[in-house]
Amino acid sequence: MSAVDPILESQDQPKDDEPIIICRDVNKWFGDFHVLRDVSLEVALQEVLVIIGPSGSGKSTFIRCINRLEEHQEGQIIVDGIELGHDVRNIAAIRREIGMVFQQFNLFPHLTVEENITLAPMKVRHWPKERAQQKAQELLERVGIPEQAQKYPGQLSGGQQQRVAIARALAMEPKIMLFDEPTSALDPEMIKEVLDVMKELALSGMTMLVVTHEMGFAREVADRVVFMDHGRIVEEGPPEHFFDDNVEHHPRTELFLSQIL
Amino acid sequence: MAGYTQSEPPEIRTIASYLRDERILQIIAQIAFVIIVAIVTGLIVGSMLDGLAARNLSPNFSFINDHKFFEIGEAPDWYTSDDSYKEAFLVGVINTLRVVTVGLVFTTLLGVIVGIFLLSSNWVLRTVSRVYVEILRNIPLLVQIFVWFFVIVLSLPTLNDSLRLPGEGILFLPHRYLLYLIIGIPYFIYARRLSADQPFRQLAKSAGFAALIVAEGAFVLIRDLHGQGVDAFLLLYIIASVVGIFAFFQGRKWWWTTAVGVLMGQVVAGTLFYLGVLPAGGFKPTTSSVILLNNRGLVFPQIQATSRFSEWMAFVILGSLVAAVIWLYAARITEETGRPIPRGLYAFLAIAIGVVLGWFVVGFEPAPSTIAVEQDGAIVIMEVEEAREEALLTPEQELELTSSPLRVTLPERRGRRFVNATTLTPEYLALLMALVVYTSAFIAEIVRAGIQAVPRGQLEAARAVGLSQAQTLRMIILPQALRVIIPPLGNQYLNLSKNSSLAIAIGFADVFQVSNTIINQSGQSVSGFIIVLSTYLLFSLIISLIMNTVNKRFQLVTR
Ligand SMILES: Nc1ncnc2c1ncn2[C@@H]1O[C@H](COP(=O)(O)OP(=O)(O)OP(=O)(O)O)[C@@H](O)[C@H]1O
Ligand SMILES: [Mg+2]
Repeated sequence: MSAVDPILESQDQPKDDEPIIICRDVNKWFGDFHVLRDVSLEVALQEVLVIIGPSGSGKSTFIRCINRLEEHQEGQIIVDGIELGHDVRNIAAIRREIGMVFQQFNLFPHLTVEENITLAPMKVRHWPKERAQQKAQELLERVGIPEQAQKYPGQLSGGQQQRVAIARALAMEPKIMLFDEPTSALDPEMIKEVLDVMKELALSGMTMLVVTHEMGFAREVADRVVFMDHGRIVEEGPPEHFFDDNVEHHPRTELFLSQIL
Repeated sequence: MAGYTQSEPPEIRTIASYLRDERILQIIAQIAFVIIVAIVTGLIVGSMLDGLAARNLSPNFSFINDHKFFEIGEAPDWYTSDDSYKEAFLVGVINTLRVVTVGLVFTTLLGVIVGIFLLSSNWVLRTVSRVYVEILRNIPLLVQIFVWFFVIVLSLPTLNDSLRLPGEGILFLPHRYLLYLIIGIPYFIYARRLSADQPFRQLAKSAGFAALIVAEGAFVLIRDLHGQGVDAFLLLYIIASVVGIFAFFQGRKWWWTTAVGVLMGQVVAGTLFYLGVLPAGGFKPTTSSVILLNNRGLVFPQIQATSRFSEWMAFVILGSLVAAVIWLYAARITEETGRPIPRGLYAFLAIAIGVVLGWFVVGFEPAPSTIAVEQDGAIVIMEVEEAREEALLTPEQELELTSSPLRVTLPERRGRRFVNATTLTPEYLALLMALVVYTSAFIAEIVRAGIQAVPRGQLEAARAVGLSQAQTLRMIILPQALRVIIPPLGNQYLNLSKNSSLAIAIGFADVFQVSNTIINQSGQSVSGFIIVLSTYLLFSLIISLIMNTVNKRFQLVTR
C-alpha cells in the first residue's frame, strides 16, 4: 500500500514513460483453486497487449481484476497511479478510466443503442444529454453503424452489437480498453468487422489489453504478446517472437501454438 | 430505410384470387367463428331463460331494493340492519375492497423482501426464507385461513390482558414533532450530500437545525402569549438551542450532538414533569397505549379530519404542484447541463413544506375555549375543559374544538369496547393475514426468478462503465427483472382478489358472504349470482387492466 493518498497522486498525470498499468505479484484464489499465481506485468501508455493461453488459464480472471470485476487477494494492481484496494472511490475512479468489451456483448437490452452509449457519460461523467448524444453519433460512425442509433440491441446482428459495445465503452473516453475474447461469440463473417474497429482503435493510440485467439490480429496489431498457463505468465515478447519457428519456446507455449496455428 | 420495399405488381384480381388470399381467408375464418359462438351462446342462454321462466325464476333485479332485517357483523357506521339489500351488498363490496387493497400492498412488500432473502448470500436468511416459501405454498389456503382465525387470532389474550404497544402508554407529543421529522430528515440528507468543498455546507447543516429550533421556540412563545400557560417544551427548546448552538461552533458531528441534545431535553423535561416540578402545558401525558391486540381484534388510534382539514389540503396540494414543477424542471436542467440534481429530495421537501406550513398556518388560531352544549335539556355556554369532563361534548364538537387539521385520538376503553379508536375485527385480521402470507410465498418465488433472469453480464457491464450500485439496480437490473416479474405478479394479484371469497369460511362479511345471505333470504339465486359474478369479474378486469398497462412499459423490443 502506498502511503500517499492515491486520489491526490492521480491528479498529476503519470509521465509518458511510466507504465499506466502495474501488476506486482498478483495472486487470486477461487476458494481453494489458485487461479492467478504471482502475475507481474507492466503495460505502457498506448501499448497494445494481447493475452493468449489455453482455456481455464486465468486470462479472463486476470483482465477482470484490472477493473475490479474480480478481486485479487495478494499483490498490487496500480492503474494510472491509483492503487486498487477496497476504497470505493478508487474503484469508481479506475472504472471511469477503463472501458471493457465482453465476449457476450452485454448490451442493455431495454435501452436503445443510443441510450446504451449515452447512459454512463450522462450518469457517471454528468455530461449534458446533447453532448452525450453527439458523442454517441460520432462513435457509431467510427464503428461503422451510424444508422442504428434508435434500434434496440435485440434488433442488431452479433457483429453490430459488439461494435455498439465498443462504442459504449469508448463513450466514457477511457484511457485503457479491455477486451475479453470480443470475437469468440461471432460468426466468421462478422469477426472481421469487429477486428477492423479494434485495429483502428489500436492505431489511434489507445492502450489495449486483448484476450483473443485471433492470431492474425495479434501478429498485425500487438506490441507485445503474453502467454498464460495455469494462472502464470509463462512467456512474453513481441508477436514476431511467438510466430517465429526458429525461436526456442517453453514447451507449454509450443503445445498451445501448435494447436491453434 | 431504403432498399427493400417491393411494390405490388398491378394485377387484375378475380373473386377466386381473393378467396385464395391468406389474409382474406383469415378474416373470413374469424367472422365465421364469431357467428358460430354467438349462435351457440344464444341457444344456451335462451333455453336457460325459458327454463327459468317456466319455474317463475326469471332474472329480476328489483329485489335489491327490498328491506329485510339484515345484520352485518362488520359494517360502516351508516349501515343499519333495516337498510335494503342494495346497501348490504355495498357493505360487502367495501369489505372485500378493504381486504384486497390492503392485502395487495402488504403481500407485495412481504413477497419482495422474502424474494430478495431467497437470493441472500447469508445461509440462515436464505434457508429460513426457503422454508417459509415451501411451507406456505404447499398448504391449502382454506386451511391457512382457519389456522389464522382459530389457532392464532382467537387465542390471542383477552381484552383485559391485551398486548399493548408501547406497554406503559406514551407521553403524547404534539403532532408537530412528527412534522419536524418529516422536514428534518430530508433536509439532513440534503445537507449531507453537499460536497465538503462547498463553503456553505457547514452553515447549511447547522442552519437547518437552527431554523427548526427557532420555529419551535416561536411557536411555543406565541402560544404562551395567547395565554395557554407555561409550556414545558420551553425547557426542551432552551436545551436544544444551547446544544444546537454549541454544535454549530463545534462544526463536526453537529447532527448527532443536536439529536442527543434534543433527546436529553425530552428526558429532562419528561422527568421534571413526572416529578410535578413542571406544570402540564402543551405537554399532555397519557397512559393509553397506541396499539392494542387481543382476541377481539386490533385496536389503533383514530385519525379524523377536522373542519380545518380542507384548508390544510389546499396547502398540501399546492406543495405537490410545486413538487411536480420542480421534478420536471430539474429533469430538464440535468438533461441540458448534465448537473445531477437530487430532484426526488427537492420534490419531497416541497411537499413537506406544504404540509408543515399548512399545518402551522391552519392550526395557528387556537380552538375556542368556550362552547355551547346541551345540559339537562337546556343549551348552556361552558368552558371546554368543563364540558369535556362532564362528557357533554359530541364527537362533532370535539372535531370543532381541535385546532389542527387532523384529530388523532388514542384508543380509550369503555366497558367491553374501545372508543376513539379504529378496530379491526378478528375475522378481518385472520383473512388479511392468511391472504397476505400465502400470496407472498408465490410472489417471493416470482421476485427471485425475476432477479435471477437478469444475466450476470448485465451487472458486470453496468459496473464496467462505472455506474454506482444504486444506479445499476435502478437503471439496469430492475427494469429487466420487472419485465419478467410483472406478468406472473398480476396473476398473483388476481388470485388474492379471488381468494378473498374464502372469507365465507370464517364469516367475514365480504361481497360473497353478504350476497350468499341475500340469495338465501330472497330466493333470487340467478340474479344474485349474476351480480356476484359480475362484481368479481369487474375486480379482476380492473387489476388486469392496471397490470397490462404497467407491463407494456417494460416490454423488450427484439427482432
Ligand atoms: N467465479 C468463479 N468461481 C470459481 N472458479 C472460477 C470462477 N471464475 C473462473 N473460475 C475458474 O478459474 C479458472 C480460470 O478461469 P478464466 O475464466 O479466467 O479462464 P480463461 O483463461 O479466461 O479461459 P477461457 O479461454 O475458457 O475463457 C477456470 O478454471 C475457471 O473454472
Ligand atoms: Mg475467458
